[in-house]
Amino acid sequence: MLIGLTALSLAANLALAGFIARPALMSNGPTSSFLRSTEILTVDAAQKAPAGTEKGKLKLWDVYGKLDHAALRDRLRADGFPRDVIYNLIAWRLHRESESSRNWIERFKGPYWKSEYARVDPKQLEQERKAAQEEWRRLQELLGPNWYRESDGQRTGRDLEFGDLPVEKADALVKIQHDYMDLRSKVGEEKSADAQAKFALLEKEERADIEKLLTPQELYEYDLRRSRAAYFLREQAKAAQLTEQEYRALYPAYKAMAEKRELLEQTSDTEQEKVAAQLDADLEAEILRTLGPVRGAEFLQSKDPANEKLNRIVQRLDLPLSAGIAVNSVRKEISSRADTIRTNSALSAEQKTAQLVALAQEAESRIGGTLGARGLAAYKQYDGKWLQSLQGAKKK
Amino acid sequence: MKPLVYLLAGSMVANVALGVVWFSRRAESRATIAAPPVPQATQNVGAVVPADRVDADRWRRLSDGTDAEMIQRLRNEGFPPNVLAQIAFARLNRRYYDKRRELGLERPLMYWESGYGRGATRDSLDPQAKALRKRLSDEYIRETKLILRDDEWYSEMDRARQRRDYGDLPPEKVQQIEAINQDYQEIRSTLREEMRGIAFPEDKEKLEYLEKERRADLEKVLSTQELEAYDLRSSDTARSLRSQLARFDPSEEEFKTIYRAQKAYEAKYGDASNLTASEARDLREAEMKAVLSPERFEDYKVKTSGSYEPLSSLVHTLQLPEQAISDVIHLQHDMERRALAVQNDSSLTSDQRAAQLAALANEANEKLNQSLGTEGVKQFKSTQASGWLAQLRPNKPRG
Repeated sequence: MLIGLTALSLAANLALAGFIARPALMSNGPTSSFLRSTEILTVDAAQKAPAGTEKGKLKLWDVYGKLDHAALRDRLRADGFPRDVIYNLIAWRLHRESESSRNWIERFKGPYWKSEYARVDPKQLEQERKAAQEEWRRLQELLGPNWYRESDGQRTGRDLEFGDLPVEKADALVKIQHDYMDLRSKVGEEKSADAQAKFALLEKEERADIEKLLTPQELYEYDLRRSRAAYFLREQAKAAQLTEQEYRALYPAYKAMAEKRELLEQTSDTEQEKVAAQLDADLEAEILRTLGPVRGAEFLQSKDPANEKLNRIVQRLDLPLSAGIAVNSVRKEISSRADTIRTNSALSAEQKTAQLVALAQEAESRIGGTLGARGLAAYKQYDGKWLQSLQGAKKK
Repeated sequence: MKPLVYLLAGSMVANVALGVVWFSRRAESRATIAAPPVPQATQNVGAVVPADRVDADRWRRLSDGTDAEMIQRLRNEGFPPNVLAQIAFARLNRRYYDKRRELGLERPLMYWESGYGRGATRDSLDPQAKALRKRLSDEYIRETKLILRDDEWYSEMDRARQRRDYGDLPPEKVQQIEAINQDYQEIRSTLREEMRGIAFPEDKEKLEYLEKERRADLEKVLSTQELEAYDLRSSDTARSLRSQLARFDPSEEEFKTIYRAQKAYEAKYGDASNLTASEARDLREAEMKAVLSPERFEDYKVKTSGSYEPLSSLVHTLQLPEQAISDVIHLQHDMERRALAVQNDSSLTSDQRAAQLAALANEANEKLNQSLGTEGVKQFKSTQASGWLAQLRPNKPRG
């Protein structure tokens, strides 16, 4: 009897020890397959906890720190971590692992008189650029194509970038763009003829994929925001501050010009310059026709890069863009009168100098009348070389 | 029989102990899966589900209370410093982003506006909005410093950069310098944003005053020797030189010599805003010529040119002789000087000026062809290094 009791007790010892050692078998609550798979991952990670970490006193990072990126993402989601925290953590881990991050730390360890860029081999820079692209691709893979728009500061990005495009189409569009970015990164040296041909082909294929994805109306809205023509229109309209309506009215002319310019790039240099000048003249006529003489003139004032400094001065003085137009009109008239003086063979050199100096004074007085004394001083400093060249006659 | 009795007694004691362990584990396991959510007010943030178990409520419990409490809990859970910083920044950024939006400090950038595509919003330039933005930014930094310890706030890269920029200065002095610089940098950035690249006399006065004040603040923190060492490593002049001289690859002695020459140039010409880029370059080079050996001065002229990098890449791709790089850079400098002289010549009519510039452009194209070949010139014209060719085109009449 004693032998039987002892045997029974020992069997109970073994059974209890077995149950304790296999806690998963004892849980009787319903668990989803996702939770079970995560539990397996985490228990496995716990078993690999660093030496000295007691089981049962396991810290969270002992578990999280051992997970790979996808498992960490899933575990953080299951543990109720918010999206932006998950994104920041995964992005940080990917970045820390990348070659680029490690190299930068090493570069800062150099002597103070050497730039962090000085010791970088261009081939290494190229590798790092590829590593950064790979990092970006992995982020897309782990967190979805629009992960960054869900994080700080980017939440309105989708509306602005894609207008009313449905979310799934916007995601597909971003995916296409990133796929082609990947393909471009695999093409060799950017300047070689072979690479240029490959880039051109990729651009064509990317466009075809986008055209397949979007309806004609969606494609128009996409181009209105993201095309090269849209970029030029926005940049050239900077000082004119177009309304949405004006922008939409001008866009077709810019689109047509961009298409013609693309064809032009395939012709010879001398031909290009002549045709480009004609295209520009046609565009300016179209701008005036579309916006009317007043806004049209303001747009042309904004469009010419030579006016950039003058336009900024006008803006800083809180004057309308028409003030810049008035200044240029004075410049044109005075320059023409100066040419007449210079070519007048009836005048002696001294007489020419005196007349040119008087012209410069007249110009300053008229420009000062439009811009004020502060404005004139700034104009002379930033855009007034031509005035100095009239005065230069006096100095000589 | 006695051993059997002892064995039975021992086994029964073990059974009791194992039973206690089993029941306690089972109860814990049930609580993990089946316990209903505890109302937040009564939630004991310290009560934890073991780390190796999924817990949908874990973040809520970890992040309960203030940011500092949250970070302390994560610290206790072994989260490393950089991870703590990521979490703190994510949380602060979200909160401050919402605050800025609520206060109308940012407005969405519309697709028809310039700058679209380079960020989703644009700061409002209204003066009240600017003051509020500055206040929020100060608050953000203050809060972050309350939440994170220094070793968590700075990344490994920050620390490497600090060692390079501040040498052996004690950490508390480094912090003071960074705080001073950050304060002044924010004011300067706001001022520069308002200036839009056009400085009126009062702007220059303000910038000079700010620089004087910043200097006075630094002098309070650093001894004369420390300040000298700091200037050589971290002043605006030193930083800009370090970057300009990247390809010139100076020795420490050369760096110090060029630094002194650059300071002399700045003392004479200030920010050189009334000079063209080529005029400023000629004056700066005159200072350098006086302190460098002829060979190194030649190197300086070529390797500090903004055109060096794109040209070098082009020359290597097309496997042209190395000499082509310096030939093209010298050509550029020569053409810029001569074009400026033509532009400034008051005796020329517009047509004469255009004709002289066209002649310069022809000469430049011929010389470019000699150095780079036809394919090279074609590719050169698509790089940033060819920007100077635009100066050889006659100005289109304005107005």
